[in-house]
Amino acid sequence: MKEKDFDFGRVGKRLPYRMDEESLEKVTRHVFEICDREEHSRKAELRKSHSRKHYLYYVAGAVAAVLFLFIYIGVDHKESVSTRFDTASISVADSDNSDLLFSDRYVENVFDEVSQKDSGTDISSFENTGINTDDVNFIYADRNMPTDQLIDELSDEDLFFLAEITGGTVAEPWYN
Amino acid sequence: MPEDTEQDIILKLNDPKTRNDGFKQLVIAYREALYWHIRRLVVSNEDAEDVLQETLIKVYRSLDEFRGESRLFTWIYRIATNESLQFLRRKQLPFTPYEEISNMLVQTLYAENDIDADELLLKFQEAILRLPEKQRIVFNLRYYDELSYEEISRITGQSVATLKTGYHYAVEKVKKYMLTNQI
Repeated sequence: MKEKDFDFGRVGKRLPYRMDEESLEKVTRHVFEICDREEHSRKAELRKSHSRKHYLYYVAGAVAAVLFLFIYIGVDHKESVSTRFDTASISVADSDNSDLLFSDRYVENVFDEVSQKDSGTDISSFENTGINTDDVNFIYADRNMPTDQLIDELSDEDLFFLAEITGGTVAEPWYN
Repeated sequence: MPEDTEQDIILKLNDPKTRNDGFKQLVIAYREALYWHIRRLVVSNEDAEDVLQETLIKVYRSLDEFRGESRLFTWIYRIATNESLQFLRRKQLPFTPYEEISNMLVQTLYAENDIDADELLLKFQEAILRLPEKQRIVFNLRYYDELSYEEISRITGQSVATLKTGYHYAVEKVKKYMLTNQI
């Protein structure tokens, strides 16, 4: 039969098409350009995403640090004010004159009055005032009673806090 | 394409640092075979260039999706085949019968070739272009690219049995066409 006689070998793998040699080079160049552009923008996007992530970490870290400072240092500072006040009170009480805690201002006033009268103040001037001469000696030495020094150093806010914890017995008279 | 070259390309593609070099090697290795595969399907040189470009860009963008389950060249051929068929469908209204697409392709075949082109070769291509789409693809991949049915199956997604039947019908139709036209 004639149908079965067609010889594919006559054609083989030949094609009637021609390809411009420049075609493949042109397509290749274009593809590489597009891919390089995409690679650059992909890397840029990646870098942006990384820096965005880092920025978030920095912000979160900063917020955490600020919160930590508010909480820890705030508490610690109040504890420190409270502790210093206790230490000052103990220091005064150790002088065996517990009244001084509540009256050291009074002592100071007396001291001032006496010192105005006589610049060469002598401890003996206090002998008839009913004030322990040791305390006067202490005040006279550097005028730095522990409680006074503490109050001088405290801010308004800390003074309020001190007034709160002492029930207003110490800080308030000085502050007002 | 030797398998060791393919493995070399795959290794480069898997490493982000050498990915671009691997892709460039892939393009150089496959561009000509892909061009001819596409050209046989879309016929026009200009269209083949466009489809080849689209194919290679799609390959580049889909590199992460290549899992190495099939050979690299079958994966690339599948993309090229799909791109070619989509290109032809875009040129026609939806549900256009394949005879109309065939007529359009045959017209392009003669329009793109000089009068002195080998008549035998032109008629042979015409015979192929008159085949239904699936038969045309299996005929081209088997006859020109000499791929196994298993490889064609990975490219087209059809079963080996269907492909064998399709190829058999295609060969018979091409023979008949050539003999009918007394070439």
